[in-house]
Amino acid sequence: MLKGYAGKMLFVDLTEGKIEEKELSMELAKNFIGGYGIGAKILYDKMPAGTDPLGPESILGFVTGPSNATNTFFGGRFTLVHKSPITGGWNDSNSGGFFGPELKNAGYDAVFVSGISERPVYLWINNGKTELRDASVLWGMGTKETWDFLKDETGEPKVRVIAIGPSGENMSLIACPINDGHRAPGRGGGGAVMGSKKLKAIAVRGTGKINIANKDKMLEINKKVSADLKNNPGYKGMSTYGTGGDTGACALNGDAPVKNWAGVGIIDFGVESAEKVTSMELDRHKVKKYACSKCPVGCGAEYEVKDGRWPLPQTERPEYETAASFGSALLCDEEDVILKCNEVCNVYGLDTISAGMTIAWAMECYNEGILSKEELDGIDLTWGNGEAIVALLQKMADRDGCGAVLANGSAYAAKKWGRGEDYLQTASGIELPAHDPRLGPGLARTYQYDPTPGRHVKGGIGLEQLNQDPSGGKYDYRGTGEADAIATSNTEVINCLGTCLLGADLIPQARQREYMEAITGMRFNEQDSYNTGLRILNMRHAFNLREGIKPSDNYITQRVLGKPPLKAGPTKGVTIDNDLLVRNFFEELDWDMKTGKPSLESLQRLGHLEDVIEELYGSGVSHDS
Amino acid sequence: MALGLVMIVNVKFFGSIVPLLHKEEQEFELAEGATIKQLVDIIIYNTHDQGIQLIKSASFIVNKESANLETILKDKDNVLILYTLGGG
Repeated sequence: MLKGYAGKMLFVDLTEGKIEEKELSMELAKNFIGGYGIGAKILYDKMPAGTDPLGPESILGFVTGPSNATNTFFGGRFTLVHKSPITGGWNDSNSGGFFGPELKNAGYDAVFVSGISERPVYLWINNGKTELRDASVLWGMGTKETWDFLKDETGEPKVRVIAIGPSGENMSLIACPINDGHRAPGRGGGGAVMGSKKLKAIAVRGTGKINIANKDKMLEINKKVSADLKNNPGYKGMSTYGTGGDTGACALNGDAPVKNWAGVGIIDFGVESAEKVTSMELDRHKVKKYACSKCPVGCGAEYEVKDGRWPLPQTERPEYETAASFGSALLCDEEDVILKCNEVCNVYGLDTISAGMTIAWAMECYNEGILSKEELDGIDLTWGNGEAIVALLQKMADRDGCGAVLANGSAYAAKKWGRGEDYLQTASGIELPAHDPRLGPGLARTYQYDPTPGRHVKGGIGLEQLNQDPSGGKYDYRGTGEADAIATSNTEVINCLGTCLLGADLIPQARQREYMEAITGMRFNEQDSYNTGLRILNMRHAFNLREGIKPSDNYITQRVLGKPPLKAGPTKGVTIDNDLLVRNFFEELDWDMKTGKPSLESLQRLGHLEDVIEELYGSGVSHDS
Repeated sequence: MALGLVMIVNVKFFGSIVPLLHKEEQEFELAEGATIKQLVDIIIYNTHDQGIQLIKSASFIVNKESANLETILKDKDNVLILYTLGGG
């Protein structure tokens, strides 16, 4: 029996109104860890290929990891899993706060929801007791108001809630649920899936405890991590200013998107603008620090905005991705615009990256004469126009006029209007996150070919390259396969543990394996970790293969590959050979470049992928090497 | 104004190095012909927090142009030193 798990999962059928409790198989936990590892395995087994992501057969999972609800530092993240209504393929998106650990303390490692309810409902989980409750009165409420309401209705002021706002209810394809009022598994349209099921929220109260294998070892590791952090100079910056402390630097060093990825920060945005959108400036509104469960860094902050055009009595410090998507990407340096957009997205439940970058696409189309002022309902969407940005976002949130189209993202809008395709900045239809492949070229492979495309929290060599000097060889694309596979596998393990990638990056990788052993009691050496990470990657990849997605279907728009290259700035002249990067990666994994199919030997070597082998190679083939 | 063999450069700091330096901007007096590496060495020498060593792998921009540790500075140059953690 593995320690560190609650040992049970919930399966909720909203069509029938049934809730079933099932044991978490220890084989499943051991081989797929948690998060999207377990999530991919369950959805592969239970959701047929071709399922409509917004239909009744679609399954939506909320999956914790073994680090949740233990004393593991940075162990506060759970993962939302489903088929994406944007990309048509596998989707996972994780979130911090306290919802994941609370779910485990309530007795469940995961909740999987299928079916469609006749009327709006919420799932109430209270220390092992479960109930579907009418949510008609909550329909139309914002996410923060919903949380407040459910505190009263459940009589539990400490209840943790994940809820959709009006954007999810209206099935905006870029909608996401929000947990703890402002934390989001933001990407890929999970809010639309929740809305399609008429599932307004899950409310959880859990006061139980999760037993781990070795408490003394856990204390010992935490002491080592404390020392690791003390010795890491990045810790102070992240703890003081959060991810938004880097926004200005990223806008200038070629990392953040500028002018819908066509601009050069130092020229088109400028030093003064970069300073204005950074936490060092925004923190004048700071009321107090915010940390997710068991996080010694605390990169968040609560704000009170008393001045500007949109005062906000209670809001949060925008994350880097948000500040870049509503700031430099739009050439907007007005802090009240960024703060207001962050709040609108949190309340309505919209992905800040897709929302900001969809506006960036519309803005370029408008400035290039592709979209007219009339088509944008009279909004003068010139570069940097803050009033226009807020007005357009509100239309998207309300699905009003042109906002009804843009609320489904830029790729949908370009197709619907039959224009502006040349200005899209997407991977398989989803807007790109705010780290530029031209600065970290490995990101191009990750964005285009990860089974969950277009993500900054997926593995590869790109993120590490962002701070590497160009003369150090990062633009030499030969022989990257092994490093890319190792980095990808490491990220799979960290994410599936339920651990924050940002925190994990501040400490040695070995700590994750040590934590895994202390929590579960299972041996987990470097080779075990590598194989498990790749097994999970193969499972996500197999989900897409079964949906008919081949490597040639994974596309990325060309501007971020440096086609054409920028004529100035830190990444001047860079063009990425992504074909070679992906060839190296596929060769290392033993995946066929044309079909995407993993070799039988590679699947047998990783083991525990019997269902994938049967699907790809037929029954009767040996499952083991 | 710089006289003789001395020059003055203005330096702005961005990103995760700011909390280590406790400042976002500073003027430095350097010998004529000094490189960014020499500027960086002075910053490290004058900073109590040893974490400042990471400034060696920062990005540098001088007068809106990309630069590196070997770049030779001139009087009145505007230098940006940018260090990020690559987070989300």
